[in-house]
Amino acid sequence: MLKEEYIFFDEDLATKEDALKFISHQAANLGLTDNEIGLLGDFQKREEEFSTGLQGGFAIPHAKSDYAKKAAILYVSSKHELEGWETLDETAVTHLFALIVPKTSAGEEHLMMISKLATSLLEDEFKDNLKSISDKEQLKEYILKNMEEN
Amino acid sequence: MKIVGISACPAGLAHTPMAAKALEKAGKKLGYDVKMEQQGSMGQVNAITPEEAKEADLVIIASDQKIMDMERFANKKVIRVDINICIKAPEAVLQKCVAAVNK
Repeated sequence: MLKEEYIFFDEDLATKEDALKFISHQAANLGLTDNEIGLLGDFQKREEEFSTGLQGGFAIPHAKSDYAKKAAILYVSSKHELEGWETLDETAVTHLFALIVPKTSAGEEHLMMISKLATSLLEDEFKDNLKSISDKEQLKEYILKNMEEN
Repeated sequence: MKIVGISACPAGLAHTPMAAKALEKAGKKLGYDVKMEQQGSMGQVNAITPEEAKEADLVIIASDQKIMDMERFANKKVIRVDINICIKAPEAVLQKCVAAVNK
């Protein structure tokens, strides 16, 4: 569900649109979807319902999509503040978790992990730690540990 | 003060559990007994029982979605709030709702 290859640091992204395109494109590269455009459409549709920007520079774009082949979490940090991403505290988005979930066969365990990840993002300490880790393996372990614990 | 509630969002993946946890945490801090049911992608999580519904002083619905089993809360004071506000400022939400009930 989360692998080192799903983690992207310091990407050259400028806007929310860039970020959603990047995620969808990488999802296709990683074999998580066969339809990059369809997946992108589902991310965009979700953002239109309401923005997934949270607090402290984080966002959690997500798609429950017919085009998702398996549940996955992508982590992306951006070199630039992403324009056009409405957040709860007016801090620009620089870090995001993209949640890709198949519409039909999501699996209880994966949904539970996503739920735990989302609630972990309420904690400032979790967000600060994420931002300070620059090693992919270490970051993956830290995120997984948090999803299994609380 | 016993508060129960339900959170629900369009995808039911992230905002639903976040709002529920944020309100429960805020309740602990403010000294209110808060239990939030989540109606999300996993169905009903942490469901409010009929007994809990009966004992509640206040029902908070953190959603603009259609909520299942609202009959539980017949004759109860029900307040609907924006789910994002519950994540952003859960303590203020509780305080406002409690103030509205005490009026």
